[in-house]
Amino acid sequence: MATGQPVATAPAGVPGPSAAAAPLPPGRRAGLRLPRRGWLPYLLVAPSVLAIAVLLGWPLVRDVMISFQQLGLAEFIQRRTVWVGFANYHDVLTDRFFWTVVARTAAFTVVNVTATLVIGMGLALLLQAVRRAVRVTLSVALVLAWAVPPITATVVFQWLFDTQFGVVNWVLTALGGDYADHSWFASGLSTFGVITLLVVWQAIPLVALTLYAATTSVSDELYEAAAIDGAGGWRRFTSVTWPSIRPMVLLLTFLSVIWDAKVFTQVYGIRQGGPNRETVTLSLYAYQQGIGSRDFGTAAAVSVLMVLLLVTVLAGYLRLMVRSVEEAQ
Amino acid sequence: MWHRHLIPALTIAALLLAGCGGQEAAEEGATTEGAASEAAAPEPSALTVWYMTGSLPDDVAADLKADFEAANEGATVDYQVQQWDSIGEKLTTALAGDEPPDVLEIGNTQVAQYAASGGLADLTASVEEFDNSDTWLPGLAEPGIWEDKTYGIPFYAGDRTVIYRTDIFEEAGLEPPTSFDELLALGEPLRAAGVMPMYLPGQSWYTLASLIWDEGGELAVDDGGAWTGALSTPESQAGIARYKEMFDALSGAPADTDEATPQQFEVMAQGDVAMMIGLPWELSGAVDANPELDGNLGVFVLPSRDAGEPAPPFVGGSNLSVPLGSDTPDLATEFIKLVASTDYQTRLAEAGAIPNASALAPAAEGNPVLETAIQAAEVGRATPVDPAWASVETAPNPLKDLLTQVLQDTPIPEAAAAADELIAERMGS
Repeated sequence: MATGQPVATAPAGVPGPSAAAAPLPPGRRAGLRLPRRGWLPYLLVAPSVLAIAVLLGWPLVRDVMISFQQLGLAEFIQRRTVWVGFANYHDVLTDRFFWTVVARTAAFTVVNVTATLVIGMGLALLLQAVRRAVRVTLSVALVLAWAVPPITATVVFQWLFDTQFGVVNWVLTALGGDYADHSWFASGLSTFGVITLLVVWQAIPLVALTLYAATTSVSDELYEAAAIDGAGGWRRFTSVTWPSIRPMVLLLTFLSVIWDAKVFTQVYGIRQGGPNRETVTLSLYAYQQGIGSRDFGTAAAVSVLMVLLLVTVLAGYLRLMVRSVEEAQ
Repeated sequence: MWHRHLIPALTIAALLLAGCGGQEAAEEGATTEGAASEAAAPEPSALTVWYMTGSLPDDVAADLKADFEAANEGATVDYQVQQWDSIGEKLTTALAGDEPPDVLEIGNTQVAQYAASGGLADLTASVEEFDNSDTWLPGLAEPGIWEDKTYGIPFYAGDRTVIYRTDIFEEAGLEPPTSFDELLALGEPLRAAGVMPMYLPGQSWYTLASLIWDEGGELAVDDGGAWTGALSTPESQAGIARYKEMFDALSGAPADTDEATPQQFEVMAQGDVAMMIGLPWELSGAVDANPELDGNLGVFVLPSRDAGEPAPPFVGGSNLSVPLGSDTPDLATEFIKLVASTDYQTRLAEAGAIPNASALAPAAEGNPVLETAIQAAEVGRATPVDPAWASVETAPNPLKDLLTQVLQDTPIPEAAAAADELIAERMGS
């Protein structure tokens, strides 16, 4: 989805070009001369604004326009534009399956984001605690997991969990379980289990490494002071580590929610939404309406609704995050 | 200043674009002049023909082009060979484009949606001028018709037969079965011989269709303009039950995979499988993967419940159509007539394809694999002829899910009702 791109959220975590245009206190940074106002900042952001407008803005505008049209194969081939008002939205919003999919996508997102952040945070603290050699090994392992392309990872997981030839069944059987010919993809829940494992596995590295980087900025003196005051491990985490990494955790949660709510490749790759449509999430639903059923109008309406849902959910959160970043500065 | 450079740059770009346009116009002019000078020639026409990779052997394609260009003075044929991968999107884009091709090969079950969308020319008026049009295979001819008009001319067909290991059968003293019960009875002796009797994956829905049709059932029925799933009828349920019987008696394959994951011919090539239900290319695929199988593979039709008859197979294959936007529809129709002629259909049969009409069956003499495939094709069927059927096959395909559920012991009426509901929903929208 268009607005799901992380690029749209970048200014929240990174001081934007506007910082350069802000008036500088006289006397500070005397050696550096920057124009206070003028066209330069605008010129510098122009390429990115242009790229976003062309690659994101225009498709989004088209998407909204198509969502008010009846656009099937016939209209497409005969190049007819048929405006139908809110008919597509009415169809989607009165479809019981749509709401099942919305609830399912929300649950999937909550589970995946929680798992990613908890495990990622754990690994970040582990990275902080271990010796250098172990830390390097662990970091390399994390980066490798991150570097595997999602399609490749999906195929690998399909084979790992294959009913007949899968190594998972083989290992579990060797360990004494009765997993010969066990089908991991027989039910929606079990299939979601495999998908969650795959998505979380690939999402953890970013969280773990970013949070580890955040913890390194906490000065050792604070930990020493806490230790002198008699703080235990948990207290040191809640009183020293957490306050300094909190803005970063908020940012990562924000990004993870966007990624997991719209994840497509892994979910589609594993079972195409099966068995029995039990792993169809919002992005798959839009795809199946559009490419599968050649009903592009409805598909566009679904994606617009998806954007609105995400924006609604994230708006309050975004405010919280921006405030937290400002406080930290 | 940047705009001092930009303006000249834009000017140059504009000039270049204008230059291209001018050149094109000049070329067009030249062609027209050239045509005018060939006084006697009819209107020259370049025919663009799309066919799928592997549909026409190279020598047949070359001869077709030569024959057609000789018979139609001034006409030229330009082939564009297409890949199956995402062909639906390519066809849609081509039909919506300014200059669609003049002849298109379209999968038989896909014709209806393009015809219904107004993308194809109505060829009904010339049907009788095609060779053998009175004995066209129903599995190709019926899907070529939409609302009583013919949009797709049968090109060639393909269907599934049982591919079996002649050496294993011989060693175990077994004969190819002539009835469904005889087929099931092969399970025990083949297992005793230490092989998997048949690699039948749980989601082989083409085989399911065959068994349902054999019982007299349907996948979906047109209920006065609205299609509904027909899997809950007693006939269809009997077909589903037979799939389960067959799976239990013969197969050792997973219940939740189809014939392509993993490719069943690769499983068969490993040597411990006596049968699979597949297409001719899967037979050659198994031999390519394991040359030891060369000469040890034979075929027989999937036997019907009624001894001596084949169960109606799903007939795949292709039709030829003329896009509505073609600028030379008459010439395009002439080209299709040549491809569908007895001569060229015979050459296709010699190359191993099922020709488009039952009258051409003798062309397969001496090729037992093709003879068997033709024998089955004569009673073969296609999926429901409706533009919306394509969305039923879109993953997750309810027929595949139905099979997995039934094989994992969901009661048939329950699974069939769920699939019917989904089919109605998808075909209704």
